[in-house]
Amino acid sequence: MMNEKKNWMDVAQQLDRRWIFILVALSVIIPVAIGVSLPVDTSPAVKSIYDTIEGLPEGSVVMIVCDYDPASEAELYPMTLALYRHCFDRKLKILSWTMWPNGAALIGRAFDDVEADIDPETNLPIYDIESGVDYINYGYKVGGAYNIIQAGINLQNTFPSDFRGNSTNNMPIMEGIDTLTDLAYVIDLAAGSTIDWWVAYGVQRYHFLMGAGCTAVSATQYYPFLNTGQINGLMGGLKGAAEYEQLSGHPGKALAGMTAQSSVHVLIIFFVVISNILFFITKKRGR
Amino acid sequence: MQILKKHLPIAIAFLMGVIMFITFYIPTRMSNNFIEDIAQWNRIIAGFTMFLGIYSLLNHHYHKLRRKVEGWGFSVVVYVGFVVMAFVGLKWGMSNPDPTQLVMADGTPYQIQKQAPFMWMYSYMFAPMQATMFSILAFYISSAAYRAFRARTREATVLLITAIIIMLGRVPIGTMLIPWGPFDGEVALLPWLTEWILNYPNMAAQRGIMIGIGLGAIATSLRIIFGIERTYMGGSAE
Repeated sequence: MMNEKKNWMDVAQQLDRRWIFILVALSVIIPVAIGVSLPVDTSPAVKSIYDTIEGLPEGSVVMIVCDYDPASEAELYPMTLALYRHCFDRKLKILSWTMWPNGAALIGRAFDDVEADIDPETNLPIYDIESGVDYINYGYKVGGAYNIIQAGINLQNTFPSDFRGNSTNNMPIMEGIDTLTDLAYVIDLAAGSTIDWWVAYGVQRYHFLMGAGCTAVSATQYYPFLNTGQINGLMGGLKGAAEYEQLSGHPGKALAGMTAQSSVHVLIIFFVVISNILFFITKKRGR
Repeated sequence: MQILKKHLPIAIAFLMGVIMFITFYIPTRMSNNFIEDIAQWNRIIAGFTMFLGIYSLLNHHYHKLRRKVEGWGFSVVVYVGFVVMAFVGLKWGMSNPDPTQLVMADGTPYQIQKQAPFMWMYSYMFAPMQATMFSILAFYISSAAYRAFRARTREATVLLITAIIIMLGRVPIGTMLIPWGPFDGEVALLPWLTEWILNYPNMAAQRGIMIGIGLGAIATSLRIIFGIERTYMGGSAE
């Protein structure tokens, strides 16, 4: 009997990781397949970004920087869509660009997705937007932090053309916009360390209002910026995106993904608890 | 040769370091013009480094192919991917100039922009593959949590409890499990605890790390400007 128990313990402790992989896969697939979405609690850091955009006067120009690539698309692309939709709802204008070469196409896709939104009642596009008038996609900009420093001095020289190579010089959206300080709000959605650049070389030097969004793993490192007011809001990971989707009234993939994330978190906690129980039983027996 | 290899790079680093420091803190018209010029140069140099990166990547995989080292098949995939993407991008560009005209059920005309071949490959091949690579992390984290996340010490126990609170507090199920909380139940306990942990203990620790990194960066920058740190030129510090 004792032997059987020991064997069972050994099997549990040395569980083939493929069983764990199958359980993780199922805990993602089943909630997504069922399509249940759960309401999320709104954090003050996300609400602050929402409130800032809500408070901007019609026609204000907002810069949304998409510093990520498809690897972080699951977390940051829903944030981008929710922000674009909220800005266009509020009749704000958007300047968008990226410091990540593989991120440029995602900005183009996000504008295309928003332009393709159809009102189910009228069967007509929801947003009547035009490139150069309501938004500009600058695409990828080589040069890293230097772009931020230069944009604070002269935005036109930093971005002389858009994603398709059209000159931005006479675009109506650029009227009265010369530097970063002329923008109503800047938001950096980052998978890397670009938020640090924006704070150090942008906010501290030119003093403009800034919010940020990032992947869940890097959210913890930006709380000092939030505390000092260097950024006025922070969206962290899929949860941050889901909160923004809920606040702006545009439920999307982030809210839908919260059920899958809930089940995976519970599964991981279950693994941790079980493995610790086994660990303590083994330790006690060893004594 | 000593001048070209040693003295000239140190002199350039010193001059640029001092000038950039001055222009950053004294934003006159002259310093702004200088920053704009430097930004252009920076972009040009960064553009050329891309060629260096491509050469380095292809050269690395060429040697792997030539020596037929283990996994050389993946190097073939690198070459095929690089050549096909570059060819398609150069031949047909990144955007389709001619939109397709369509008519809605009520007769309203509208147009859709069909993706160019390069963008089609980006959207349906490159993006899913890169996203897949990142999503594999979830599987390894789960496996690692089962095998290694043990309350062996007091510190590990604190970390473990904090992790469980954050993991539950960041998802809706945390609110469903414990719907009551402080401030007359205005916020659920776990999300409130999560916010508190992130805003106080986490923030304090992160700030300490940040100050440490900042001081380290300042010290390293000064060492480079004054020619004490020379490893960036290649070779040893001496």
